[in-house]
Amino acid sequence: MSAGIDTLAQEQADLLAALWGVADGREGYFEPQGLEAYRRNAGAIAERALGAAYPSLRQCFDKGSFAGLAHDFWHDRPPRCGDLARWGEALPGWLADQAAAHDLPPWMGPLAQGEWQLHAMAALADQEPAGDTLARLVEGDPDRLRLQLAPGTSVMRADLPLVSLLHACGSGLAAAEVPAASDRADDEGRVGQLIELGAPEIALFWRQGWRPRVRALAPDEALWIEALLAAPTLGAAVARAGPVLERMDLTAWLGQALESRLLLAVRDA
Amino acid sequence: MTDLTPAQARALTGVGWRQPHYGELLERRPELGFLEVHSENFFAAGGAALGVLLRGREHYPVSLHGVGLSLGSARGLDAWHLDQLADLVERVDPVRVSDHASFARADLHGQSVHAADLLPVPWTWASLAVMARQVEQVQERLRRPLAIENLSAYLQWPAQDMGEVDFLVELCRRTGCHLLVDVNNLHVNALNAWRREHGGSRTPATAELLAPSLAWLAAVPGERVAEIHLAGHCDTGSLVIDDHGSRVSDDVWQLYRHALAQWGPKPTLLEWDTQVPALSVLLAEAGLAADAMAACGRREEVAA
Repeated sequence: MSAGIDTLAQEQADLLAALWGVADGREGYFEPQGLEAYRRNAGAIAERALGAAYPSLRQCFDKGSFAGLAHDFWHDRPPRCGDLARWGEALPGWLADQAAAHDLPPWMGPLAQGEWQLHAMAALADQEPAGDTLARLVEGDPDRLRLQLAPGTSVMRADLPLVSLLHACGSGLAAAEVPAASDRADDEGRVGQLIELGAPEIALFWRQGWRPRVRALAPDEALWIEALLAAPTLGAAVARAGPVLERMDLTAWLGQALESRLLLAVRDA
Repeated sequence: MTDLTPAQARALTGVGWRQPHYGELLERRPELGFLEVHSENFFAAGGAALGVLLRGREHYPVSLHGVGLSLGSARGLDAWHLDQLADLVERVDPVRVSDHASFARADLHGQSVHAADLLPVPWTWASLAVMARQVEQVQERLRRPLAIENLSAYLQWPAQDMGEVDFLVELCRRTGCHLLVDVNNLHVNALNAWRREHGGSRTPATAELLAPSLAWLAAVPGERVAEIHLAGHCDTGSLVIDDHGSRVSDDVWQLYRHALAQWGPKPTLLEWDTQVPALSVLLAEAGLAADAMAACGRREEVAA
């Protein structure tokens, strides 16, 4: 039976090779019409899956171009597992590799990186904010406490106005802030203009409840959040941030962080 | 055959719950027997989609229908995929768990690739052995029987040891799994088989066209059938495609009524996945399935 299973494995590999257009020893073995039906379906699936992960990027292409990009990416980096929401992580790097050969604007890679961050955050485990835990900061030992930040919290230092770009495309905003479709930067020209006029931004990613969010950070706040993310305790984060905290109103920051659900709780370290 | 009241028939009828209807369905809470979702869309550890599903579960039984287990893959099951499914089953406690008699995982360029499609397996003894082993593996992990769905297939493997229905019935016998019979898939396969054999030169009479599907249904013992699927298909000219993008065709309704007459009432799902219509349209189609189920008992009694 194992010879039969080896044969089956080879047949199945041959069918995938035929679907991906890889030359194999079974020329004419599969019905061309059937192969074409599966290839068409794969094209539609690729476009749908990539568009769901990269909605802003999709807006920057016309429909045919985005379908072509999804097709090429599908062929170069096929899915490895059955959850298509996980397919597409390699797109930012792939776009960077393709930029020169296909005359793609250089901002596409970083934009895609930001979008993937938002997409991936949406699937993280939920964490609920604790009740009134800020009081622990008054009497607690900072070396025994930590600030629990929202799922997916991260800081990305981009050399382009990444946050403005994502917001202009309608991504990473609070529900009430999402612009109408007609007001979005939905073509390559407008996005290019935005990049030309804008300054590099530091982006903060976090999940506000179920909603993936991004906003721009001032340099001091970025250093503070990076310290919170890297240090094992609040005391260590304060030491790491150093003089930055002297320039910040920490009480105001804590209030805003709680309100935006960036800060979920004060916990034991 | 037991006669069903309309309410009992509706309690056996479900719809595929897709993103455009998430909010409206939770708000309206129509009378339905169950909601069906694609398992893989809820593999996330948290987030909005899973949250919505769990809210739906508070009001309806949920049927988890997989499209990616790749039960027929000679490369074996993806352990990660099975882990995700087991976690989801634990969270949702579904009324049924199903997937397809298909494969998607195989080697390409020396690495394992998932084709994200329901690719046909050859109906051979080797293929049956692989699928039976993997169905058992999944059932042991989930501690419940799987329901396996017949495919619409657009390719035929040249070497076959048996027909599709014999393969599936034997799979049930070996593993104790159930069948999820998609009557639209049967009809799509019959239409494409007709075209392969006869070209487009002659339009078959309905009876001639339905005959292979009726024979297929006759070969399935009713106690093995866990669920029936109904959906629309489209004709591209060269091939008929099971696109789940329109109303159920008259021929498929006819096959469905025949299946009910043979097996009695069965949980029935109305699937609509592309060009998703207004919820009211989907519910009206599901209502037709419930009507057919309520009528099948009465028709049998008259015949008896």
